[in-house]
Amino acid sequence: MTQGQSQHVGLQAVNRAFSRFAHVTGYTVLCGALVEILGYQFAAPGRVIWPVLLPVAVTLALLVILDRLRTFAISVLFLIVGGATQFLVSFALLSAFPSIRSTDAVTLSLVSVSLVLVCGSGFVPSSTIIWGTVGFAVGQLASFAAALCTGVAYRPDAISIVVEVGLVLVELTDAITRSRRLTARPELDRAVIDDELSVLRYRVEGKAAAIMHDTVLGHLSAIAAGADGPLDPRMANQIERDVAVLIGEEWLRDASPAPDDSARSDWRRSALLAAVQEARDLSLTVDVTGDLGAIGRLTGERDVAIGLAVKQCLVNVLRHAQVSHAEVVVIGSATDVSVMVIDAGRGFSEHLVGSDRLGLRQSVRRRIESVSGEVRLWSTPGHGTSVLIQVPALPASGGSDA
Amino acid sequence: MPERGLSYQQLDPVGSYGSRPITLVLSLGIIAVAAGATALSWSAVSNPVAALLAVVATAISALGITFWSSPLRAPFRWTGFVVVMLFAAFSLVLAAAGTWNRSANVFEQWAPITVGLILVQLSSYRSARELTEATVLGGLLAAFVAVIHPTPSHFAEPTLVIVLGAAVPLVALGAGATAYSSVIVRSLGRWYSRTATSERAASLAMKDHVLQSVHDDRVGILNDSVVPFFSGLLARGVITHDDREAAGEIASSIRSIMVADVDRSWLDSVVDEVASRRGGSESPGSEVVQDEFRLASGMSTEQRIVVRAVLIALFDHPGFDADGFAVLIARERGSAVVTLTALLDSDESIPRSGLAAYFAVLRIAFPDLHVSFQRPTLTLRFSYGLT
Repeated sequence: MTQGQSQHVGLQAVNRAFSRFAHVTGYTVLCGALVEILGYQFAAPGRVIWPVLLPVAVTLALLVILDRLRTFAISVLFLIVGGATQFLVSFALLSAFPSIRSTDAVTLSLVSVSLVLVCGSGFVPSSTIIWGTVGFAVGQLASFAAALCTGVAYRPDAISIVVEVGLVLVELTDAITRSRRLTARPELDRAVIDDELSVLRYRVEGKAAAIMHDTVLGHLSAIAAGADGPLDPRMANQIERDVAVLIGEEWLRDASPAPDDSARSDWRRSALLAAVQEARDLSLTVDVTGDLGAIGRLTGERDVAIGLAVKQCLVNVLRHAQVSHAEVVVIGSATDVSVMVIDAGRGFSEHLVGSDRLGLRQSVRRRIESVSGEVRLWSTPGHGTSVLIQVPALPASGGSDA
Repeated sequence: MPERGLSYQQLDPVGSYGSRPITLVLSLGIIAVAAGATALSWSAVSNPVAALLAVVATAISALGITFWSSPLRAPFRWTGFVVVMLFAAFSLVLAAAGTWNRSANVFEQWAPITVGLILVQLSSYRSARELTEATVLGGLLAAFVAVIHPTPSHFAEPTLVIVLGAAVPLVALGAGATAYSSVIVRSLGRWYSRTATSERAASLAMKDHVLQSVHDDRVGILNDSVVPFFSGLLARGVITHDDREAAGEIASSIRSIMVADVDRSWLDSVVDEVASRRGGSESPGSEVVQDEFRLASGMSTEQRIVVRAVLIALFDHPGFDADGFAVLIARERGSAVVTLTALLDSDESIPRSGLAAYFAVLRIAFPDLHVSFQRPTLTLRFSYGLT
């Protein structure tokens, strides 16, 4: 969306809506005029009034056409036919009903109101005002002519005046205030785009930080905490591979927000199982239980996120829990998959963990939150730790083979 | 597509805020019609108290719309709508009572026209469904009043004509108002649906730019220290005491960068962005935003967008003093409460200022928004639920 585009669309919508307002009001008053003429005819069956139903019906038909095909020619035709109708209705009713003492009776104003509203509505304010004023003049001229022909007093009808004055005031106000009042819209458009980009940046930074934590920081910490001596060839390979991954751009493209909505279906090849296997390779005994098939309902992105998060949890068990055994329990519900990593190690207080320790915050929490998941942790010093990772999953029928 | 029952104001607060000058003009016009028609047809008034009360009821109804349509009270509440329509109904009945047994002239019975115009005023603020209901009820009331209203014997109009004369102006304007509300909500809804996909495509280049910038940042960090260190280590194939010390130092410096990154919320980033846009070279985000529990992340996308736009508008507002700016987010039961303070050297009242449109949008996103401006301190307070 470009800035200013929504402003243009907003104005178009207002113009279209105003045009519709005018036309629906026009339909209603013309239909009202038809019914009123019928009311007069039924009240005085001896007098012939019904023929004026025809010009009102023609005006109504022209309004239908104008509603669908708004051209200058049809607008002018509407004014001519409407003016003639206004004259005929006024003449017929003023001639037949002496109780109508002047041209400002409501019955005589309905066609005139439609002439004010219909033709110019929905264009720019100046055009609406000009068409409305011409319509008003045509209507009043027709009423004046009918008054002359019938000898009844001419009085401009109040409803048409109110509608014409209201139309002019509304359009003038619109024209005067339009530029000032729309200043906020481009800023909102820009905020929409900025927010989208900011969310993307947050996701990518999160992913970069998590990868950095899992790779470079891990190697550096292992070297710093290790002993002098030859570099382990496996670690050398890993370092080479990890640095190449970070300097390359593949991981960036994976972080693009286009979601992989398909479930992996084969849980045996999931990132979670791979993480468990890696922990086992590092001499940690890991028991995996529960509804393993539910993992197959995770999208690719969530599977990877949960696998890397569980890997970090198991690395934490190895590094800090002082036990060699952990349990991973998978729980599938209708809408989520939960994975619980449990150990019976020495436990810890989360608020006592140094602010520079990033494993849980960065590689578990932020990673899981970036795929709309949630992490909860229970740990007490001396009584082990349980980490519950919960992420949304596709419905149970979506491809689990368990 | 928008939900049924939405109003233009709910769907496009900025656009409907644009209707407010028209609302004000129509309010004055409606009062002028009621007062003017009563004065001009005073000879037809049989009960002056009822006639004057009808004008008062009309004025309350019209001014009620002006009051409840203020950007600081958006969205226009249902209670406001009911109060406005009740007073409009009173005006119908009182105007008829004021000319009891004297008048049959439609202009002397001006209330159906003013009630119709009140419905037109409401078309930016209430849904088409509610306007339809109000139009039907108003039309029935106008017709009923016209039927029971006694007229002098020389006005021998057919009953159907009297009923239509009273009801048609109200129903016509009400139907028009309903059409306006319905069409504008549908038009905007269709457009929003269409742009939901094209918007993503339009900003692909910007997204690539973001990805590249994050990548460059990371590669910069790696190239600074990590890559040279690992290259040397891999070439030598042996870890020495110095290597272990260097590894510890590099790990510590990377960790501190990452900690700062992790602790930084989107709100910090926005404040930094708008501050730098104003020419500031520092990053005041973490200093002026106090969000101990990182509650800013609990805002929805819509709420984030609105807050971002409000912050940009505030920083760009003439007379804004960045030194007095602060945002505090605190937890209160199940909600996060935001208190935003800013110093504004402005003589304008807030509802008339360029900020009013933003507050209208803010009120839609945070219905409990409270705005106070005691020159020069502007305080915004609002909350949102935490899940």
